[in-house]
Amino acid sequence: MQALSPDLKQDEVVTRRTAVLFREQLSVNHKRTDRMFGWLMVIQWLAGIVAALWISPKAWEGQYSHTHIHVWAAIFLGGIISGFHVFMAATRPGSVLTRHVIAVGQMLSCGLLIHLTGGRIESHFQYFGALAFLSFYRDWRVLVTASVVAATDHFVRGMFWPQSIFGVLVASWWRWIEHVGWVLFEDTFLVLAIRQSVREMRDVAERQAKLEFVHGTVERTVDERTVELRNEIAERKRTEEQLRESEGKFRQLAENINDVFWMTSPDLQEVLYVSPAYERVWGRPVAKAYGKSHEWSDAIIPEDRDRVFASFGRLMEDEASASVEFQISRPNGEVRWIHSRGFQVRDAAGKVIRLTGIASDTTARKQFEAQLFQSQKLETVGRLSGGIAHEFNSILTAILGQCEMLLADLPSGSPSAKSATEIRQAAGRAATLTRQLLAYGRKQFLKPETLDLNKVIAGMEGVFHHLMGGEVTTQIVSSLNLQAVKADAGQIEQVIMNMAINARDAMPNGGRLTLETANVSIDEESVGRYPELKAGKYVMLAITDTGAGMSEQVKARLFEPFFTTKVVGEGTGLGLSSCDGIIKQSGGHISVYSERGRGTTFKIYLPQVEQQAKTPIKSPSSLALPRGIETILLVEDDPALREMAETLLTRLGYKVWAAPNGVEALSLKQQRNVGHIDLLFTDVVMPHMSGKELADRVRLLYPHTKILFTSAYTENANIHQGILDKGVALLQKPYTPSALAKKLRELLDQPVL
Amino acid sequence: MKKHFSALLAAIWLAAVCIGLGTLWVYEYTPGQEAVVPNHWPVQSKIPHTQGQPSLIMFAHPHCPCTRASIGELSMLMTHCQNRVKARVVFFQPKGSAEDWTQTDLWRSAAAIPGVTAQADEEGTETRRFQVTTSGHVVLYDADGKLLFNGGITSSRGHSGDNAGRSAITHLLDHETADVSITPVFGCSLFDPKQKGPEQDAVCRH
Repeated sequence: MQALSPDLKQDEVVTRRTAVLFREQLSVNHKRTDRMFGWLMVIQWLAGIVAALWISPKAWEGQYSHTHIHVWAAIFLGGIISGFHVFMAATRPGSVLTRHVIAVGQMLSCGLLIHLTGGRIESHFQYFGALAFLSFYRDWRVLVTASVVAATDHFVRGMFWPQSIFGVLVASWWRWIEHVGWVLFEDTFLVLAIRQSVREMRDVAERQAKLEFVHGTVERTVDERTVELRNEIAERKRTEEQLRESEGKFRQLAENINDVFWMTSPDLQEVLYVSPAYERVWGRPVAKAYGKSHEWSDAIIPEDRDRVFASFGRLMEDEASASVEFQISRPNGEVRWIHSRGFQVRDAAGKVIRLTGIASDTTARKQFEAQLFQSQKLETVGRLSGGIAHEFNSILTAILGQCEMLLADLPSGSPSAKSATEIRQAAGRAATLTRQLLAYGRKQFLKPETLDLNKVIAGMEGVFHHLMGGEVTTQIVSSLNLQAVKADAGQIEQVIMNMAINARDAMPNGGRLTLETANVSIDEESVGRYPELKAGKYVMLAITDTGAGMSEQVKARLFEPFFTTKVVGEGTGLGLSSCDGIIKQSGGHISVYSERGRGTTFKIYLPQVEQQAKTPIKSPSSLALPRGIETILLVEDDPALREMAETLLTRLGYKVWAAPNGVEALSLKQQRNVGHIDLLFTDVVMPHMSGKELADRVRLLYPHTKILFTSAYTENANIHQGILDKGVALLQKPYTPSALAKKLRELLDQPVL
Repeated sequence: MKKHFSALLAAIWLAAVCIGLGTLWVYEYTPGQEAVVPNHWPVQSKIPHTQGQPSLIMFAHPHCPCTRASIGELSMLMTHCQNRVKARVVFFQPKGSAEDWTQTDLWRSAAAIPGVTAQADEEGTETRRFQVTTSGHVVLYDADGKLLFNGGITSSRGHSGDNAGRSAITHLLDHETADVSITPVFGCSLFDPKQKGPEQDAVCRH
């Protein structure tokens, strides 16, 4: 099928619609006219009855009367004529048959009324009125039917009963035509009027069809646009929903992270948005950050302000992003580190429309970095101190040994003996200093044992009273059921003593020293405060003074070696640092809490152990050095120390073979026919051959030879570095002659396995 | 089916209408009882005969609706034949009736026609003298008292319009001749058929 052009299509649609509308209007008109005639027929029927009752109610015979037949005719005949019309109009309005029946009925009704009115000439005009009414149907065929009825009536009665219609017995044959002619005369005008009316109806229908077509076109356009608008609205709603969702996510993100989101005008002069974290980081209300208040930038410390604006100034010009670190001062005086990154936001044309960024509070990281740096620094210092102390140990061992031997040779009270005594005392102080350095560097030789801190403190109570004097009172609060710890008792006593002395020095005008013990548990959450500790059970020893307290700066450097607040000569600056080293070496931790003017509390945490604590037993010291006659192979690379040891051992009665290193020691044994060696006393770290390697070879050659190592390093350090096996005998440098003599005797007296 | 039913109804209806109209027509075109009217003016009559002029008498029932058309035709007749005939309408008044029994619109219509005299006929005495039985019956006597016309002047019962009786009278008055001298009379009966008077030996016949 060929597609119709829009115009043709419109014409065809309008034509078809016009026909439909025209038929509908005609149908409506027919039905309306049917209904009108229905009522008219009823009125005519009633009018006929009234006319009959009025004009000829009765027929008379003398003085007697009865109802006139006109009355019955008006009622029944009129009823039959009108009733059928009303029935047709009511049940089949608009049908062709109905209006033709009505046309016939109208003519009959007119005839009846003429009869009822006595044939008055005026009543004949009803015919013309009826025809005019019938023209309401706008159907000329109805007029034809009515006219045919009238013509037939006149023709038939004129031909066969002229008296009944013309009043004469004989009438001209054409006379009916005259009557019908008048009817046709009216019909002519009525038909013309009907045609005109029908034409107008068709025009109206056509206009209506065109209007409907245009209306339909507009409706379709409106519908299409409505659908488009509905889709647009739905799309807009979806977009708005997505935007709200996105905004919600951004808000959740912005309001729940710790960093500060910020957004400013391109010139950085007006704050457009700042997330709630601003209040937490800056310590100022968010509301006051908005607009052109420069509160956020006023918080930057003056030293950093120019640098910050210079950095963001480049962001305003050509750099897409900028990053700057600065410090702000909070209203309470606290200084916070801020790391802020800014970015340009450009519009579609590439113009910078605003700046946005994130400001993070890096104070914690900065502090951690500082602590790490300090820790690394202290670690370095500790390693250095340990190394120096190790070397000093060897020297001091020789000095002390020689002094003791010298004093033994010199007569008591001689000037030389006094000098030697001074040398020994100075060397003793140097040895103490060296031990502290080793303690700080955690390289001290420890002899850990299971301890009850309550008993350790109780054993020191007399010392406290002696140390504190009358101005400072001492209070000891011991926890019941205190768990045991594993530590070197002597070192722990040294730690407590150091802290007690510090406390005393912090209370020059008197005060109270409190020592308190307790079992504590450190959970996972609390571990963060004690970086060196693991979660678990600890024994806490708190040492509290009511002294002057200390500043943050002092507190920060408290455990640094050689840091002291005392006047020169009164402190070495190694006390607390060595305490810290000892406790850490024992697996513990020291924390400090101090308030200026109120005092300081040191809390020592040591891991609990399950073993029963031993009561520390002081071994009685013997002034006389134990002696022996066994053969000892001495191997020491330090000549002074080797000389001192060789002299000492010889004086103690031992037979001594000395060698500077392992290689010479082995060759000496082979070349000189040394015989049985009872004990090998060797340094651990030596050139050419280590003490362990030498010991292994000697043990192969002489399985019954006992071995005593000596080293400036602790036992643990030697073991951890794989130098010595666990359980070997070790004498830590610097050692005193008595220590060497006792250790030798201890080993030599042990049965040979 | 419905269409056929409607057509059948229409046919039945048309038949009923035709029967009704036929009955009506039969009634309207059925003339009154024939009457034998005296060929000369009855000497017993108290109604004065106009000298030198034809006399026309219509006998009427004062309540007969059919006679209204006859009065109307008389009016037209008198309009045409004014001053050439004396006319009189004699209204029947039964015995024992009220005096105003005759004073109806027909009386007033008849009395209003120029040249027409209305009079009451107590107990129908004059009506009997002229042997008339149907209302609307017209008799026309010439100046000598000779009967010229006898019959009704309507074409049917109570139906006005051109009719043979009026044409005949007009023609008689104009030309002294007419094609017909007797026409049927359409109207109510002047007397109760069960109470015929002694003079009613003969009735109109058509």
